[in-house]
Amino acid sequence: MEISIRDSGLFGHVDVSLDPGETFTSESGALFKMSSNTRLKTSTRQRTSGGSGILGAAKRLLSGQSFFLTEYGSRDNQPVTFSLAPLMPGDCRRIDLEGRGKWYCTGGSWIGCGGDVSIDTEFAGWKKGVVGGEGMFYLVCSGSGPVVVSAFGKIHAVEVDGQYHVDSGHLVAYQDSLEVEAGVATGGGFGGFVSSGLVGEGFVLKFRGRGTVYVQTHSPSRFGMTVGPTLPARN
Amino acid sequence: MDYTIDQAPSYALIEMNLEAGEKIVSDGGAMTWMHNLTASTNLTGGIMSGIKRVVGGESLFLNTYTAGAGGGSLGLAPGDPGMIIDHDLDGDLYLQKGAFLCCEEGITTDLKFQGLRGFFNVGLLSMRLTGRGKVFFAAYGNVEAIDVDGDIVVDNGHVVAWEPTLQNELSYRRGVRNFLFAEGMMLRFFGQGRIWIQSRNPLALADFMYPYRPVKKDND
Repeated sequence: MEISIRDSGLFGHVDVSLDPGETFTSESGALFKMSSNTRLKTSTRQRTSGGSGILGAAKRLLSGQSFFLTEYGSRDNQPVTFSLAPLMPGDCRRIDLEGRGKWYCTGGSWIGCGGDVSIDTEFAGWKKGVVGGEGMFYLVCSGSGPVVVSAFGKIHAVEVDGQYHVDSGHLVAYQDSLEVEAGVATGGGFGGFVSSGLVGEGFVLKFRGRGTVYVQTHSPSRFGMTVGPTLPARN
Repeated sequence: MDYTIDQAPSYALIEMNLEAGEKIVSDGGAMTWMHNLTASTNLTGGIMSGIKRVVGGESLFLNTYTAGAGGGSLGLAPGDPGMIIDHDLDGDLYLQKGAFLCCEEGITTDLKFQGLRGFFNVGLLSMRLTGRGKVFFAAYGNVEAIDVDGDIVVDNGHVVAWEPTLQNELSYRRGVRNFLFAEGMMLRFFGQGRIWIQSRNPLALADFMYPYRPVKKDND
C-alpha cells in the first residue's frame, strides 16, 4: 500500500495505490478518480445514538459527514490506484497507527484508512463536545496502519504535555492517551456559558495528559454559519 | 502575447501583455483589471451560440479585448479559487461547464449535448473549442493532467477538460447502492488522449452549505 499526500497546501489530496489483496476504506464522497479495475464496496455505518427532535436535527446539521463508507480493493488481481479529495480547501495529513491506542478523528476530517485499521463511530456526547460543531461524531481508529485526515486550511500538530485547550470547530484528531472534557472558553458555570456565547466563541475542548492533537486553522461550521444565512431559505 | 500565471495553484490569475492590435476573447466575468485596451462585447457566433453558452454555464456575451497603440495589459481570473491551465489548441477540446476562461481570437466555441450522461453531469452541456491557438481554462482546486492510454474512471464533478479522442460513458461500477446514496456519478473515459481533473468539487461544497441555509417558516 502506498499513500501519498499531494499538493500540500490549499488543495491537498491523497493518491492511494494498493497491491492485490490489500484494502482501504474511505468516506464515500471522497473518491474522485480511480483505475477501472478498482473494486468498490459500499457499506453504511450506524450513527450511534441517532435521534429525532432538536438534538437529532442539530446532529444532522453539524455532523458534516455522510456515513457511507467505501472499501477499495482489486477486481482482477492487478494493482489499483485511486485518489481521494476532501470537501473543504485545505491540507491532508497521514497518521500512522502502531497498534497502541486509538485516534479520535472528527467526522468531517476523517478521509480514510488502511484495511487493517479498525474503525468505529462514536457520538461525541456532552463531555466531548456535543455542542461543539464538528465534533459531533468521532471516527475512532485503532489497530495498525495509515489513517488520512484533512483540514479546512492548514493542519498544525500540537504535542500536548499538561493542559491544552482547543476550540471544538478547529479540532481535527487527537490521541486517546489524552483526556478530554468540553467546556467554555471564558470562565466556568452559567456566567461563563453566557459570556462565551455572547462573544461568539465556540466551545472549548480541554485536553489533559500527553499526546498529539491535530488542529485546523479554520472552522468549517463557522464558515457555514457565515455563508449559509446569505443563501435563500430552504423548505 | 506574453503572459504569466500567477499564484497557482491556489489563487491562479493570468497577467497578460498584448501588443498593439492583438486580441484576446474572454468569458464575460473574467477580466479583473486592464490597461490600454478597448473592450467590445459581442454575441460571438450569433444569438444561438450565446444562449447555448448560458445553458453551458458561461456568459451570454464574450468580451474581446484589443490592445491600443503601444500595447496593453490585463488580468484575468476565474470565479473559483484554483488552478489555471494554458493549452496549445490544435483541433478540438471539450471543457466542463464553467471552465472556460479565455482564448486567442479565431477559436470557435460551441456546445455539445452530452446525452443521458450529460444529465447526470455537472453541466448538461460541455463546451467544445475548435481551432488553433492558446486556450486558458480554470478549475476549482488543483489540476492534474493525465494522458490516458486505456481507461480511467473519474467523478463527473471533478472533470475539467478532455480531448475528443477520449470517449466517455457512465460507469456503474459504484453499484446500485452507490448510485442511490453516494454523491455524484462516475464517468469512464477510454481511448487515447489527455484529461484534466480537478482536486475539488464545487457541488460538494454546495452540499456542505445546504444545512446552514435559513429554514423557510410555515407562515411565510
